[in-house]
Amino acid sequence: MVNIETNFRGASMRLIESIRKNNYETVSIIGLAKNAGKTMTLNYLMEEAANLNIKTGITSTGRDGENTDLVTQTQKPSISVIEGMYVATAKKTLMLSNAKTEILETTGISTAMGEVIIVRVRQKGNIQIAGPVTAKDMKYVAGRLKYYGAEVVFIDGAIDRKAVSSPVITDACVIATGAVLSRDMKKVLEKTAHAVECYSLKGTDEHVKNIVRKTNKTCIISENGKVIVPDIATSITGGKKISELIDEKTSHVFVKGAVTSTMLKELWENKHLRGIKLIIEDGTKIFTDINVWNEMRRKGLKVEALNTINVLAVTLNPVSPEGYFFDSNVLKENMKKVLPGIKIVDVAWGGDED
Amino acid sequence: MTENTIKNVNFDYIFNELKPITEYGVKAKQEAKPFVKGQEADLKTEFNKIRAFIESRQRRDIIDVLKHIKNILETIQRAKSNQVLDEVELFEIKNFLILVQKMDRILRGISNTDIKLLQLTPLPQLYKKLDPANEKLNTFYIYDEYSQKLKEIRSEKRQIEKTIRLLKKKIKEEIQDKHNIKLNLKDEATISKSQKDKVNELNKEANLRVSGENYLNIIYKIKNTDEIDEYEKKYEVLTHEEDDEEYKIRQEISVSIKEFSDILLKNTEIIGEIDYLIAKANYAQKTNSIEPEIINELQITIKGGRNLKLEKTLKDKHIEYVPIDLNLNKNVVCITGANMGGKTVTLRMTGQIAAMASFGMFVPCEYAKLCLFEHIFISAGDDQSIEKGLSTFGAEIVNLKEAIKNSDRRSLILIDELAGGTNPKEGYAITKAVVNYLKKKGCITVLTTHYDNVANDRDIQNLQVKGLKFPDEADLIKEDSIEEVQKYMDYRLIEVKYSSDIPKDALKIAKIAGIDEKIIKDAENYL
Repeated sequence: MVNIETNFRGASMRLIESIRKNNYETVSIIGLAKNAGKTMTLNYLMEEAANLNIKTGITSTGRDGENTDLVTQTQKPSISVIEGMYVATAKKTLMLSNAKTEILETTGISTAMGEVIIVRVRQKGNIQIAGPVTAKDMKYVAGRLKYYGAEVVFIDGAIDRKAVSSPVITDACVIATGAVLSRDMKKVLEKTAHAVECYSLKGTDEHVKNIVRKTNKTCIISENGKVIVPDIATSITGGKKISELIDEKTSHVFVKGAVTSTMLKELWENKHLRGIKLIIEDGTKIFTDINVWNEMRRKGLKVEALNTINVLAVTLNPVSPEGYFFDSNVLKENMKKVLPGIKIVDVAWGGDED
Repeated sequence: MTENTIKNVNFDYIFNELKPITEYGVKAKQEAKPFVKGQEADLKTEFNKIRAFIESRQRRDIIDVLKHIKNILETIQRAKSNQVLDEVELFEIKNFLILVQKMDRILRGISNTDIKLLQLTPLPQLYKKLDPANEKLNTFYIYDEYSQKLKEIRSEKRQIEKTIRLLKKKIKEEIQDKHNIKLNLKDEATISKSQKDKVNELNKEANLRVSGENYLNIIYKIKNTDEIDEYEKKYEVLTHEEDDEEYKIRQEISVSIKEFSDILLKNTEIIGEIDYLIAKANYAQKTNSIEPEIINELQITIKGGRNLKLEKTLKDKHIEYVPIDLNLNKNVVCITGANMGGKTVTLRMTGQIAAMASFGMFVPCEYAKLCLFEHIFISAGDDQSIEKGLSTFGAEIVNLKEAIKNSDRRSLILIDELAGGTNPKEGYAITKAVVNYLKKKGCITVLTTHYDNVANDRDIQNLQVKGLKFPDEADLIKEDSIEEVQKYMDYRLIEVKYSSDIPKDALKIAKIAGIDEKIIKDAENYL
């Protein structure tokens, strides 16, 4: 263990320090499940930043169809914000906040919760955050938060089957995981490692990227550059159809949107797939059963991503709201074993080690 | 203008191309009404304003300001009905006031008397209420400067917050030292149950409580002391007082906004007008349009007129548009000439220019002199009513009725190939009769026709398309595309006098376009 520690000196730096050191200006936080500790991670990072006098901005990816119910049902947890912080959130959530804020800009970006407003916190308090929905708006808002003075912008992120997931549009991403994933620690480790593996998929070649971006639809690419776009409603239901179009000349298959177990199995029916690269939008689009995925990978399935994600750290919450919890140190040590080289921080207990 | 006419002279296309920036500008555009006979002076003023914006270098600065202007109509309405505005609304009013002041300053720099009519009213007295600290920033906060009470509450809150923080820190350090444990950021510590002594020890600690437990561990958390509880309660009370005070302040500002609501609304209207005028100025420049001369006498003269929609279509295909001169000197003008010679386009161009002028826009030509019409009216082949199920002839008759109904007023009537779809004998008769009827009226009629003997009337001006450039050599050219005809067509109009015959170019065109030689030969036999 000592060896690993010294080998990954960078990993022993405090999380907030490595964000600054790498000049990451936008960082998204993704939870692998509800109550995996995403909010805790956010609060932790913002507190750490405050201790080092780093000015932070925060926003969140809103979702289509979010409405006022969300506020009362407290689906979005409150984030505690302190003086000097920058926040971008929808007007309705802002009006419900007990933090005192100075209005800096009304962005004109509308969401189900009202227009996205950019504020500077004047007096600490709690605030629910509902930011823009689209990637374009998110980039704009993050840019504005930086413009007003935020050195690091945290995005309470979401992964999306259809739209752009937040990790894709940020410089780096922190994955929050925890006991809530399973009562069985082994399962927690397995699921987390799977997510990190998917998110960390390597990017595909530039020329393939160009072809795919131009087509922007599920397609089959031949060695000679020929592109076939199958006539399917969604990739999820179109596995068979895609499989039929794959032949010995195929070099890449691009699947837009979610990748499911059924689809992977249907694709695998085609014997040519073994020599072919499967291109997906990004790692957050994989929704397969872990066993199916691992089996396919063992058999030689090659997967690359159109958009890469930079996984900076994994944070742990050893406590489940159902009442059970793991020994923090045991979970952490085990997680380090399955994810060597990735920074692991227990945000519920100790945070970064001193 | 009827819907039908608007579409047929492509005015819908042009109006869509006018793009005001603010919602007030869009409103001004939507509510725009055409200038009619009797409003020539107003129209002249409108043109002056457009010209002033085209010529002034401040236009860019104004556009920059317009880009930041938001719709505050709803907020003003809320203030008017005695609602208390929230911080975001107050922020928007503040920004509006800043932008009005900015724009007013820019407008003062333009030394045009007609622009001076666009008088904005900055409201420094209201602005002051939104910037009590005189920070001159375009952000908004319920500043401490609003009231002594607010200032005191906040300062006390800060003090208490600090005290609580120090007290908590002290307790945390004491516990950590005393029991040799590490508490996390949430002031919690997890202790294994196997450390029985430690568990016993911590259970006795008055400042700790158990916040979670399982078969392995117990989580301890720092308990607030009575002193801290007291302070937190006080903080809570102060927060309520602060909220009440803030509400009072917002209420006061909202009342002031209500007092100035009429001026605020007037400012939004003027901004809308400026925005709309600038949209017109931009479009005039983009389309190389000029200010038409508006006269009182019934007349239209156009030099180098272009139909903007067709010009755009041709440009996309890299084909040059040939501008047309049109000098009307009689009440009825008959355009004759070759098929594909641009007769219908000329009608549309004329209608479009008359419509643009009446909506206070510059017009796409080198020179134009025209009067204001009460009605602009067109009957052209691809009519909407045909889609409604009427036959070509049926639609024409419906249109004609409408035109004749308005022929006693100062109208511009444009008719394309009247009765062209019916039998030539009756078609000619109808056309001749309509022309005879309209030439006695006080309106301008421009019609195209293929019939002989319609235009040979002293009271009618006959304009003819110059037609195919190489009529004799056309025999030598064989191109299998209808597009090729354009190469040989001279679209210009020339005035002809008392000619009873209409030039016959249809066969030549058919030949250029590649119709079977046999058919052409056979057709010639019948001529």
